[in-house]
Amino acid sequence: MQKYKTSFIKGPALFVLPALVIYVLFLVIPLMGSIGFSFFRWSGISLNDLKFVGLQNYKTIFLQDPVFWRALLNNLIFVGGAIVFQCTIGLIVALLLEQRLLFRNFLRGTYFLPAVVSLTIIGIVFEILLNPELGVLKGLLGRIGLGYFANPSQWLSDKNKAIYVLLAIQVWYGFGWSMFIFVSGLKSINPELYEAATMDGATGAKKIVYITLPSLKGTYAVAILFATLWAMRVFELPFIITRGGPGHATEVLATWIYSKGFTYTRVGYGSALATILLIFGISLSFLIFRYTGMGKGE
Amino acid sequence: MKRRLLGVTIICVLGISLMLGTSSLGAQEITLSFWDRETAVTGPATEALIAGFEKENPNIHIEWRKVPYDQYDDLAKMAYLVGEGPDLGSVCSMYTTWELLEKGCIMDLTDWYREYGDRFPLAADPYIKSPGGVYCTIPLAMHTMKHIFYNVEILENYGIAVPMNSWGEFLEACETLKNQGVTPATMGAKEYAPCEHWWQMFLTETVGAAEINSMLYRKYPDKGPRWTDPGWIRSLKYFLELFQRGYISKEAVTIGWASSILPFTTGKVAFFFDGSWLAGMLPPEFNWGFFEFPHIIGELGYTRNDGVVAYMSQVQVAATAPRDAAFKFLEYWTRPENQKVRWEKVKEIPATIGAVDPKEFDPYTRACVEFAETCTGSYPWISAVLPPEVGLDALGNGYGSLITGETTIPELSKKLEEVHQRVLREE
Repeated sequence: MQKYKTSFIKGPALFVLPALVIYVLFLVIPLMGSIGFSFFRWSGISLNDLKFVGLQNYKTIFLQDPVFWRALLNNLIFVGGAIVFQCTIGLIVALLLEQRLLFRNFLRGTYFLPAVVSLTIIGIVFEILLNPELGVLKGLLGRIGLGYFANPSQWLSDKNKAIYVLLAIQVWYGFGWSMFIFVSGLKSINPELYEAATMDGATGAKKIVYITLPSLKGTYAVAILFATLWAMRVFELPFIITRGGPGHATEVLATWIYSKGFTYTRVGYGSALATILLIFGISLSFLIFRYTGMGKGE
Repeated sequence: MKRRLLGVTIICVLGISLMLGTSSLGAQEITLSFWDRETAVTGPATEALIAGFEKENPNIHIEWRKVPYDQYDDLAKMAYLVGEGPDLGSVCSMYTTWELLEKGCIMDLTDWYREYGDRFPLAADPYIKSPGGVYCTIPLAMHTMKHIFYNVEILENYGIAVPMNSWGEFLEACETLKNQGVTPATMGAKEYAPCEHWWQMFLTETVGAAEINSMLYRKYPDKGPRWTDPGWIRSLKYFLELFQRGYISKEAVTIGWASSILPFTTGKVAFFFDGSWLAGMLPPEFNWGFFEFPHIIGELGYTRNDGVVAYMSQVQVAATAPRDAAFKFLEYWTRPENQKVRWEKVKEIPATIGAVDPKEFDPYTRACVEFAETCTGSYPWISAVLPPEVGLDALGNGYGSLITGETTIPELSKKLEEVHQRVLREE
């Protein structure tokens, strides 16, 4: 039989080309455009008033913009909350749902449900629920003995607590994704390991500690990576529920980019903020890859 | 065979040319795109007007697009940037409109006003002209911001008499209500409105319309009034006092305009302050009253009758729009008999002079019109005219910071002045 060799250009490249074109058109070019705009001052109304300012936007962001630092801190709070709470709750629920339960698949679907609903809709619903006059959470929580938590809308008006209300909603939304990732990881563990452990007299807890958790090392990395990236680009919840307020207490980088770039007509400045967000996202991803060993062969 | 083929080809080409030519001989069909952000209130009136216009002008079709109010400015700016701005569009921020005019994105309407300008009073000028004196928008409604709305039943139950002759009396009434367990007032402070409306009234009292206009149209960093001047600082003190005394909950920072009206209309709150558009939005069965915003004894406004008389719901025309068709639509829309539809359908005072017989006005509308006629000084919406970084960011976010204690009045005033000076220098 004759072997037919083909070059990359004539063969696989043709199959990759359509996706590559879309990728370049809708991601790479706008990204380059945004980075380019970051060196200009521009109101976004007419291309005739683009004014080159070099690194002035970056200088102002790092040296004269306290809201940027507040937003960055809030993003890091979301990242920390995503890693600690979202992934942990996702893992616990995934482990529980691995047991032989009657409605195991139904429960999996239910816990995953928030993740398939638009965050915009979730934001609108929680905005109504948390309304101090009309929201039901206030009365409902008080009646079931959770008096301390009976007024979450009061927390929303507290500059120190508001971000944690949004974080709680984000964790509720996102833990289903983490659970989904961990369930996939659990399915890939060789069941013979558990059989061997059972023969050796291991209890359920020991199986989890010595077999399950170590086997999920690669899965943690994926779950943490996804949770971190989503947390860095959080936008809908702060924008809809609090508009970044009170003051700028719940401002995140994405909402600050939107406000500066569109509402306050400082497109160049907004582009600079977006570029910084991109660099932070890439840096965090690099750190996660490095310290979790993701992508390395075994 | 070849000759036959040639003959058939020639006949086909002639036939196609004839068809194309015939189709272009008929009256030109024109479609005008119209982006409308006001549909929540004025939708029925606009629908009726468009239908009437299309009937009168069958070759002009209006493509009416309803755009959410708070997204309009951002969407419209992007559209104009890429040359896809609507032929006709609502105006949101005057500052944005002036920028669009300067950049050649919207049309100079001076020619239109030369013919139909006498339909509007002189008081409409700040809303229809740029600071450079170029006509750029057409107003459709007149609104005032001068009266506090109140729940009649609550005030009667607690023996509170209206009208109130001074701000001190209003505060006493709020104290009485608070002691009885009734929330005196509400406002939304998540966005800049309606909390800004309250603050504007205090500013009217402490500095007056003339100085407010000087600030709004300030061109030089080192000239004109300053945000740190005593009158400007005192206005913020009066504003903050409402929260410090517990007459308005600090949770106002978590609610927007639409949510803030509900406690008032559901009988949980006694007072609400907003512009005259609110009257058309209150449920028919809701028993409400009104009185003029009380003057503050000892302040400049006590001996004056300044306030906001605004010519709003403006429409602007894209520079690329079919001019004649657009002008025709604006002429139709601003005819007194057609503007009357606005009153009949949605109870908004039309901007066109003589559109409605004053005898048809209810007591509230009559009071608004009387105020407009006797007002000693007026100014436009502050956040709509100031550069966005000053009006929407520093000031708009400043209310929330002030209410939650994140910033103090002197700090906010200083920040406003610094930002305003920086923006003026950059411009």
